[in-house]
Amino acid sequence: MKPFISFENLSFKYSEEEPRWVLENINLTIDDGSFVAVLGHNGSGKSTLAKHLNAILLPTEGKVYVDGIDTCDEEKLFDLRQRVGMVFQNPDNQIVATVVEEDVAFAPENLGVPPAEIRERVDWALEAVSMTEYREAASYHLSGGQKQRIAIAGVLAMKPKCIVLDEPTAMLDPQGRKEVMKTIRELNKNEGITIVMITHYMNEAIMADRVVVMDEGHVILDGDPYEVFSHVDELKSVGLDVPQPTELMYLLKGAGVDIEKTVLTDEECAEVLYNLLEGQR
Amino acid sequence: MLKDITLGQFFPGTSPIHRLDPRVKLLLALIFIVVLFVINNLVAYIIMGVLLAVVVKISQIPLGLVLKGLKPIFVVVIITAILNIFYNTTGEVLWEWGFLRVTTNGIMLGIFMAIRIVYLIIGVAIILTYTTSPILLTDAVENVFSPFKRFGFPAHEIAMMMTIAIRFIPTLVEETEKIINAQKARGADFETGSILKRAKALVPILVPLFVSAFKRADELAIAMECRCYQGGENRTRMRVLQTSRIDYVAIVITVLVCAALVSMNFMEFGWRA
Amino acid sequence: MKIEIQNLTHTYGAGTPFVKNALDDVSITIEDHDFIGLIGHTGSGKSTLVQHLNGILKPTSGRILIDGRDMWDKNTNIREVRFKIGLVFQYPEHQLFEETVYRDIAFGPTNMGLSEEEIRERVLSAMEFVGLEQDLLDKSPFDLSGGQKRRVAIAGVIAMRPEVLVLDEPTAGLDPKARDDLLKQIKKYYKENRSTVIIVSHSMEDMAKTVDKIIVVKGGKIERFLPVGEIFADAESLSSMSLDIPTITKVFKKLKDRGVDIETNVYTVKYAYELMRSRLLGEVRQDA
Repeated sequence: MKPFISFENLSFKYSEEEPRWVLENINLTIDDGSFVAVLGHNGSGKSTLAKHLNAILLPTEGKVYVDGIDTCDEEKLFDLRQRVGMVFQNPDNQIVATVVEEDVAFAPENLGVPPAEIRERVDWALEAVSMTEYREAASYHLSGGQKQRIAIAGVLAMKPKCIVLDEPTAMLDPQGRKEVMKTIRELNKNEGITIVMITHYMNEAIMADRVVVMDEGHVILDGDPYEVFSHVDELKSVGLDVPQPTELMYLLKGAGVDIEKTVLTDEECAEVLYNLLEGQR
Repeated sequence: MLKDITLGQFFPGTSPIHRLDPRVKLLLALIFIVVLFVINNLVAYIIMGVLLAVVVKISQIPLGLVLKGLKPIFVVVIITAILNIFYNTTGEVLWEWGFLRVTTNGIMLGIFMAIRIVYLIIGVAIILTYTTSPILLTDAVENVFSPFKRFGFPAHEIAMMMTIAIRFIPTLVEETEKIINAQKARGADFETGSILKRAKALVPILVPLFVSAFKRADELAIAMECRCYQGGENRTRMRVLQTSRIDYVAIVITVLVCAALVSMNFMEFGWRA
Repeated sequence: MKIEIQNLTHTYGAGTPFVKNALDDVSITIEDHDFIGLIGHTGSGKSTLVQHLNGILKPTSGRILIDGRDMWDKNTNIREVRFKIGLVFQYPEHQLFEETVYRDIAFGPTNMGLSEEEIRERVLSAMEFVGLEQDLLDKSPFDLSGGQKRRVAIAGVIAMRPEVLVLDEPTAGLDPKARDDLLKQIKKYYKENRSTVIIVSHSMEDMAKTVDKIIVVKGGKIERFLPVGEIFADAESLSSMSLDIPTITKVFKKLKDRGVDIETNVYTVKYAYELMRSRLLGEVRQDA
């Protein structure tokens, strides 16, 4: 079976004259229905990578295929964009219409969907992000987290197979972050939508099935969160963090405490510490 | 405060005014504007005022919001009234100083202009925009002007521009306020000094505002492309505009009332200019 | 500089249907040379509170005394207050406007009416404080990276040499390294300058490793004002305010819940590490 997304020897720079590649020789495949977090500091190339998924940017060298479509194929541009929804950092700059449900209707209207079906899609999309009760509200009265969920509903209404989110929580408060992360996870689990999430928050990356770490236009780590976060030194050297429990375990291990597995959450960390303390008795 | 600007906002509701077809509302607003400037009889204006009050009542817009909407144009009304007072110099002279002359007709004209502006704001800016969702309003504009598309008139583009403008006004107002405060915190002084100095003091506000507006425009354009926007061709709409009985009733009432008001121009009573 | 806030109430939208008390009878005293983290949810009133500190907002009722003098007294020039209490807004890079980095940072000092040499001296030292290289002086601020723009904007306030520096979410949107660097620089600024620093933040994790005291604001009221060392002792009640306590604190709370005899006032990884190392290895060594 062909993977849902594949980057084949992808290299990219903004212009010929630039000496440095923004992305260099990326080979990566993403399976249908998976939840991938792409980590990296600002300027690592992670957003540039995301923009290749629906042809906002086109490869300088190499190819990107999504669901069998070559992103360079202009004839299939709208097929592609319908399949891959994009959500950006600032929710304010993605919402087109003042009233919530009218904004959500924007994409299906562009696609020429019949009115009755648009209505269905809008109702479904708002339900999926738990914003039904705000459907007639004006977006500027909503919180950041709510606005971002409206932006997600706006791409959901295209019935995409995949949603790419470019630092969707960077401008939100902790409450908004939780709301958005919960929504993203539900869309992945309940609707089977493939999620590619660009972030620099470790606490969000650990929710994914797979973490890809980028630096200087290269993929430097790729694996499930436990695997990736076991490379504490490497992550720190590229300006990234690890979750606090992971760091604690790493330090203790370095001091000679016998710890086998990598932990990510407070729950797992407490479990390991508990067993260690019990073992002493 | 800038936040007090309520013009151009929408207040959702289910009143008969809310339920009118937006195209009909546009048409009625147009008739209303024409009639407003044709009438020249104070009694007619008073009747019109009462009718406007009735429409506001039916539309369920709180009176406080109407007054709040009028507040920002108060100065404009006063200045227009004063200019008009001096503009018309026919009729009985009441006061004279140099080339300035106040006459009965001048005062009447001043009062009329003030009334016209206030009514215009209430009728169009408040009743029309408060009761019509921006999208429906712009849909109506697009729809009304679409016959002119064949002559190259960009009906869809204008409607889309209106939609985006309405959507971003509150965002940019909020942004302006933030920038003003941030520059105040750096000791910027907007209140004292000569006109030139004050104009210069605006630079620290305008530059960041435009930088931000361009950035927003850029991001919005990409977001719209990602949502498959490709202009007005083959676009469908979630809500299909439809006229119903209530629309015909509204048209008939408006036309009759307006005819009556205009006919008062030819009557012998009332004050007129 | 001592700031006394007495019975401060701020009401938004008075006379409209949307009346809201953003601050409700708040009284608090900020001592000279305090290093404070101000924590609360969006809408808790924390931004409203800091905007009162330098007279951007005026109290609906109550008083703010700066070294014993009422800030809104007729004889007090509010602009002078703003020079003494510097406020860095959220996303401060959005206020940059000048042609060069130098001129943008010089905007505040110029408004103060300082001499050319004085301004230059201040701009250069402010740049050093925020870690900006001198070769950026003549660049356009709009050509810089996001993190650098943020630094220029913060330097613009620091250059006024305020006695109190207030920063509203200075690390919002920065990546982990830029965030840690900036917090370190603010800490260094605090130590070297003998000034009061107040950081508004959502992140308990960041504040726990940066400041000395924490103010928790909720529903327009001050819920807590305690040294960092004491604030997490009662982690239960902080959680019940749905504040994000540091993950590491949660770990020790969980251990305690499982019956382990251990302190719960743990809020940095460094401290947790030392605690656990002595518990695990210290005792192992004794056995051997």
